[in-house]
Amino acid sequence: MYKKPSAKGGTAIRRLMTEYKQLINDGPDGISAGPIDEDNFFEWECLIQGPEDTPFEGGVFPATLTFPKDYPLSPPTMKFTCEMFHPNVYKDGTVCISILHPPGDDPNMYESASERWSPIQSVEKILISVMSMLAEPNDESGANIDACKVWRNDRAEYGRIVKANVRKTLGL
Amino acid sequence: MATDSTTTTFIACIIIGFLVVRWYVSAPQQQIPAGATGTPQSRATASSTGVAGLSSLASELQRPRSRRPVTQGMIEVVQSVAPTLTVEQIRFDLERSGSVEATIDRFLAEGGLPMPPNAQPRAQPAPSSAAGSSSTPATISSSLAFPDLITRYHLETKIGADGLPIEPKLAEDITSAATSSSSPPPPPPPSAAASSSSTGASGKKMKWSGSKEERQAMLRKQREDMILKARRKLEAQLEAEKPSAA
Amino acid sequence: MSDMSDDYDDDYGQGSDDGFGYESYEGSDYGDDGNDGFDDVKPESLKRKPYEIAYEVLSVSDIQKQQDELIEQVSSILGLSNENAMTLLLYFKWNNDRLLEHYTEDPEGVLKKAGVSISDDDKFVYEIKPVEGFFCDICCEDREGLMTFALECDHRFCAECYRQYATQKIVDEGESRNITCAGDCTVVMNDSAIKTLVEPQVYGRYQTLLHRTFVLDNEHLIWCPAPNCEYAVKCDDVSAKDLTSVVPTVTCKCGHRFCFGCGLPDHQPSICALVKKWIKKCEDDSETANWISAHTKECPKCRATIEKNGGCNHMTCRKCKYEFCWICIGNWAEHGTSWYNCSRYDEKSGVDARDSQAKSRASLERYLHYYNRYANHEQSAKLDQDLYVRTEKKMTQLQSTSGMSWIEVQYLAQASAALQECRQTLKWTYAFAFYLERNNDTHIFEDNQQDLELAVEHLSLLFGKPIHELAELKVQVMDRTAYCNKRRENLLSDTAKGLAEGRWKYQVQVK
Repeated sequence: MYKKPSAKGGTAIRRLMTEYKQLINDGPDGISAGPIDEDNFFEWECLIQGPEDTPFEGGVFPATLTFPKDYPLSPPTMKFTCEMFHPNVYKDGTVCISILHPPGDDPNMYESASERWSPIQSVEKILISVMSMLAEPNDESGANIDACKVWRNDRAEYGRIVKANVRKTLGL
Repeated sequence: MATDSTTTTFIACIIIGFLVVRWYVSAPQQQIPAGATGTPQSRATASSTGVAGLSSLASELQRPRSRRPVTQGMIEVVQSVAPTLTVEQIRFDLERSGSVEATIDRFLAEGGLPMPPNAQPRAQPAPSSAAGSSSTPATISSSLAFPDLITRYHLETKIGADGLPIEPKLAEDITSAATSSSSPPPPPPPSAAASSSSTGASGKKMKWSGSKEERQAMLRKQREDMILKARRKLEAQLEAEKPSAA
Repeated sequence: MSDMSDDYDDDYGQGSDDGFGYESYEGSDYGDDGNDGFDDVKPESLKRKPYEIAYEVLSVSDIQKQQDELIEQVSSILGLSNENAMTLLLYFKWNNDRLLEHYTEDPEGVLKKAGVSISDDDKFVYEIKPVEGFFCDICCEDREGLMTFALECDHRFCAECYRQYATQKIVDEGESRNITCAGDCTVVMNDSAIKTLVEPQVYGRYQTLLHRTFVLDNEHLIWCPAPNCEYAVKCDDVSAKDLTSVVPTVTCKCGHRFCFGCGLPDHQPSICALVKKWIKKCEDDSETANWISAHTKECPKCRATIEKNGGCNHMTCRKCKYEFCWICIGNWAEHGTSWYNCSRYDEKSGVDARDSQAKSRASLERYLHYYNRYANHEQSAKLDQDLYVRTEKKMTQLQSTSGMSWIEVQYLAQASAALQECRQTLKWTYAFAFYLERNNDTHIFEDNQQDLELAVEHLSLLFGKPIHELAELKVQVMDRTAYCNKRRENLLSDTAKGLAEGRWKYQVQVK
């Protein structure tokens, strides 16, 4: 009946290519991201440095980004491929953060529409948001309840677990 | 009565099922302590149970290669008894023994468990930082699916081998940072600034290339640099912490 | 009686216009008030009965008109363009009172929150045009002559990306009220922006969505729940808090008769709250459990459930062979042979157990009394569907056997319609009565109920007669039909008055 809004030929690829180029040429510090294999531009691998002055400091965390075919109309999904003990990261590594949600998901969209996904957000913005998420977990939308509890009740323990994960991820 | 006979049949089924499972699980257990090194056993013990038909099945399961389902719970139980063991060690032995009791018995008898053959060669991390590892909560080992970055990107050979060795000055910085960070509000470590500027420098070095291979290589290099740098830094930091802890 | 039948003739004349035999019953009256139902437009507004309410059936174009009127009203008061007024109204869910109140307090804040951007030049024109040296941030396209689009905020993207973005919002997400700028800002795409940008089909979808939200957001509007019906019903006098004092039954233009308050099919005279309770009660399996507790006991030894199927109280459990007394649940051996004088009758524990059992049984019996009658009428109403089909057949038969004209046999269609309607009402009188307290008003209600039931059964009896007799019974059938309608009207009027006066007292909380 209606034409499905599908990305016209190569919009997603062109856009991802541009973002890739931009990240290589002028990417922010502490972030590395790019396609796992350029034959498939919809699967990216990225590394995020743990933000300073947090238990994550000194760590490097790998994650995959999976882009939908209608990117950038719809956001990608992000999944850490290392152990990640964080209130907003599911146990399987999937990241739950507002920028990765389309505005329609939330009934209270009026307040937070600007923090949500829109076609002009980018991989860089996502990764920067995730970095700040590592520094400041959002207590209200918990993805990992255990991590939420520990973070809320025993910050020292939280730091210990996170630091242990940092060492583990780096093979130490 | 009809109901009674069905109930009896049902209960009988459960009992038989239980016995089969029980036998199935205990058969290998009897063997492992006998051959602690894990050499292939003769199948005499299995057939001695007298069920000839099943003995072949049991021997199938006892092949050294075969892996038993090892649950997270099992590993946690063993770890609570033997906190010095690594998860890999425990998993390796559990896979062979298939039973928590057998693994714990073996640990108590031998005072340790063999390292898995494919484990990366590394300085015994568990005993070296005893304080750290004994307080390591079980939660961190919640998922074992992820190999560490060194293994994943095959950087074993590059650790400390090539590239930039840690400069003494930087190491000192880290040491001072680590010692000072024991005070409640940790001041931003000077090393962090230094390292981030150097990351920035290495990042700036990258330029977009027209060739797919070059781009891939560049990305790989960027990744490796990031990982290695972080690892060295952390290693130095751990080194620096050790004397202060002792 | 002949003038009476003329009256009917008039009526089915109107009914046939609609192609629906009995629809003309709505709002037309039998008996004393002489309203002949000819008034096609709004008979209920001429002379409304106590149980009827004023309402209006709106078509899609009516809804559009209402929407436009509201927009016009707001834009003239606030001195805004129609588009901006509409965006504001959408934000305030078409509640213009709230909008005006908030707007007068804090115009800028409201505009900002609603995503209205007032551009400096009076009339911002949405256009799709190429822009020199343009680079689209969404698809990273920068070729010469690329068509672009932007809202008032001037966040410009290529038209193709923008179109896809808007189309995705409308078609996939069903969004209409709050489609913001594709960039990172809160400016809302209004009707004319959407119209400029998307394909006509998608714009049509957008308008449908807007209409839907217009009706859903508006307390005084409801979509007709009948399948595929596109009408909405507007009822200004009834809001949610009135639903304990009125049963707002409306009839859509499609013929579906339903309650404006809850959307369920006509349930006069029962109020919505009681209807909900009743339906829940009927669906609830706990009633089965009640039955079990009222009709069975457990073997005191092995706890097997036992239903007593004989007269003797000396029970022997089939399962464990335990013998006990049905009355006191005590061991039979202690009874001797005098079970009819069960010596334990007065023991405290026995009394308590029996009390609760008796209570549960009494309550169950009471429920079943009402439920059976409710279900009976429901069943009969279903059978009426078949009956109606058969009636049509009868009518054609009658035409050929007795030489009556089509118009002359319509009395059967009317009788059938009256039967259905009365049964529907009767059905709900039982649900209503179930929750009523026992008092004089309830007695009056039950008398009315009885009268109606009697009238309905009489008519039903006549209606089922063989075809050759029916022709001779025409006058009688018409009398009965009129009488049924009269009884129903009496009952509904009295109940409605009682509701308005708050006369009815319920056994349950209805707030």
